[in-house]
Amino acid sequence: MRAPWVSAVACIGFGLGGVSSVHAADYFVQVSGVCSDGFVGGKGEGSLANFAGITSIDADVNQDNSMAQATSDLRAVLDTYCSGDDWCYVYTYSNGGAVASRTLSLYDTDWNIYWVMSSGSNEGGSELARTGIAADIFLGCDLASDITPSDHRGGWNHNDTNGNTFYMVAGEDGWWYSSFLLPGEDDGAVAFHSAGGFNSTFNVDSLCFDQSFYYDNHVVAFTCEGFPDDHYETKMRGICELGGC
Amino acid sequence: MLAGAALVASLAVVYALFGSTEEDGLDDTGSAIAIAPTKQQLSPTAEESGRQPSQPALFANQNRPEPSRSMKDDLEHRRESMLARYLREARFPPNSRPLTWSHEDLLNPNQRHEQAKRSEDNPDIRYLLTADRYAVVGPQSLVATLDVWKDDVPLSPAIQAAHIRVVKPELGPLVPITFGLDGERAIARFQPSALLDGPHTLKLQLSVTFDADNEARQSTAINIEYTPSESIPARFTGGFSERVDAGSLLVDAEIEVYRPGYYVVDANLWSNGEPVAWTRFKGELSAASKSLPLEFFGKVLRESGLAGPYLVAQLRGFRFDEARAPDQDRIETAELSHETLPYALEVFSDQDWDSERKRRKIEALQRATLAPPSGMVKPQHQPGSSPVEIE
Repeated sequence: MRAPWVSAVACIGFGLGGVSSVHAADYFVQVSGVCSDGFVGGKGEGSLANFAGITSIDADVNQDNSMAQATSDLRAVLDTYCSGDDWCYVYTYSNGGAVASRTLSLYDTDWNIYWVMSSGSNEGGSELARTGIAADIFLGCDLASDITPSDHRGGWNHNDTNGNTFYMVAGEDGWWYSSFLLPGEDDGAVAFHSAGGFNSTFNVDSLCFDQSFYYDNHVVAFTCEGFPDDHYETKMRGICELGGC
Repeated sequence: MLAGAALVASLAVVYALFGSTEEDGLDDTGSAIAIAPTKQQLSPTAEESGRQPSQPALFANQNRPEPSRSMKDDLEHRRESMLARYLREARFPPNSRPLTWSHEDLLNPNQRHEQAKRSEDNPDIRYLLTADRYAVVGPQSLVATLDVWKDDVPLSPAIQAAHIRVVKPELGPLVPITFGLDGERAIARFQPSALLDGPHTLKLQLSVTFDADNEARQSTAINIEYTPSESIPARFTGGFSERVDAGSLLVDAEIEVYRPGYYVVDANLWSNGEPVAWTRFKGELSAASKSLPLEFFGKVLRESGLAGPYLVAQLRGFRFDEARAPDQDRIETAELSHETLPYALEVFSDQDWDSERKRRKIEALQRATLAPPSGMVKPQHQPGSSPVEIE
């Protein structure tokens, strides 16, 4: 029943005259997590997605020092691959979700982005960021101590996504200390309140609540219960679910 | 005009066809999901933190979608849902949207989010170091508190060391901070401006080492963002003017700009104590700028059902400079507010937001070859079923 609607919409949409634009290339921009400067390799064994007709990009975003540096770097990546006649999908892992949220919130640039998918997102910050365990999880760099819930939730307006939808993908296979340090369900490094895009540090064991309890334009993708992944395994989860691994 | 009319017609068709997808209790894959999201109090200890434990949602559909179900099988359906979702969100512009009681982050924009931690040596010991705000601007004071519990009974911490230091842009020296006791709670009130200074915003770390009940010594720390007085880039004068323009409410907030540059300013709109809308200005301000426009989109006001007079409040903002870290110099905040004239709702437009960027986005989503499904649904209304934060 649904396929004809798309066809009808497409006919109407492309028949507007003056609305249709040139479309040159599609990119799949992959942004990794804290203490990284690229998506490929590292903890979680990241690799570039393989989608027909789409060129995958390992985003050169330095997340060693500060969110300011990372934000500036991602801005440059988006300028390169998501502007002019080119369009992109943005895929983030862990703190890359926070970097994408911050970048889209701060700048007023109308980048050509289909959507953003954040897997194991640290957009709402991690309670581990100021613990001794953080060094093991996040490798250990200056930025690793600046990604707490207070830093990330107080640092920018997450509801301003510049009109882009964030699809949130979460894991629920926490590690031995998870219940000690992280509220609610988690993947060992980030709690559901962060990975799910909630607008506060809710103590929740499910990802699905009324939409009003999320940042604007944030929706949970695939599953309400989370995938049986730890934080590292979430790195490729969204890509694989889309058929790109 | 013809193209615009066709676009409106097409949007109406799309919205009519797909706009109810999540309203009918179906997720984007067509699976039935019964939802009664409840968050109930589980014997909270009021001292523990601002966030209390809550019960998870209950879902009739506990089956996780099979990962093997290829996105390609129902790409068209997912694309429809994706487009429908975008159209719902894009009824309003990205920077002028409804404000509800659920927007805790926007209603309390400077709140902190620490939660009580358990001692790694003795799980019966819990402690919470936090403060009354995240960002400090100019001469504002910060109130930091340390609470400690053993088996949920408050203990007096014995402070062994407490310091504040700059950690960004460069590591600075340790500056001692004095904590006193207020009952069992350790508390410190101080002005960062009396201790630290700098030409731009600083990231600070407050660290505390303490003993409790002869247990192993604990250390904990929190981050604070501090904009010294000399780096405050602008101030709101308190003057406002207003007008209705193209069906939206425009409020000009007068501002004195000390340092030209790119500014981001947020504000909330209220009606008789009820949240109505939030708005955001992003743009360049010069030294000659006398005001900045705050747009409250007409359809947001119409859909709220709340007429004026409105109260514009909670102005906050910063000058953004991507070349620095930290990159935000905050505007001096004050308890400014502006009450508007009374307005009948009918003076505001009920038209959806429309722009060239929106049309381009719709066109792009129609051709997208990757379309994520969403497990998120809008719950059927069930009185008392909405998640409620328990203080």
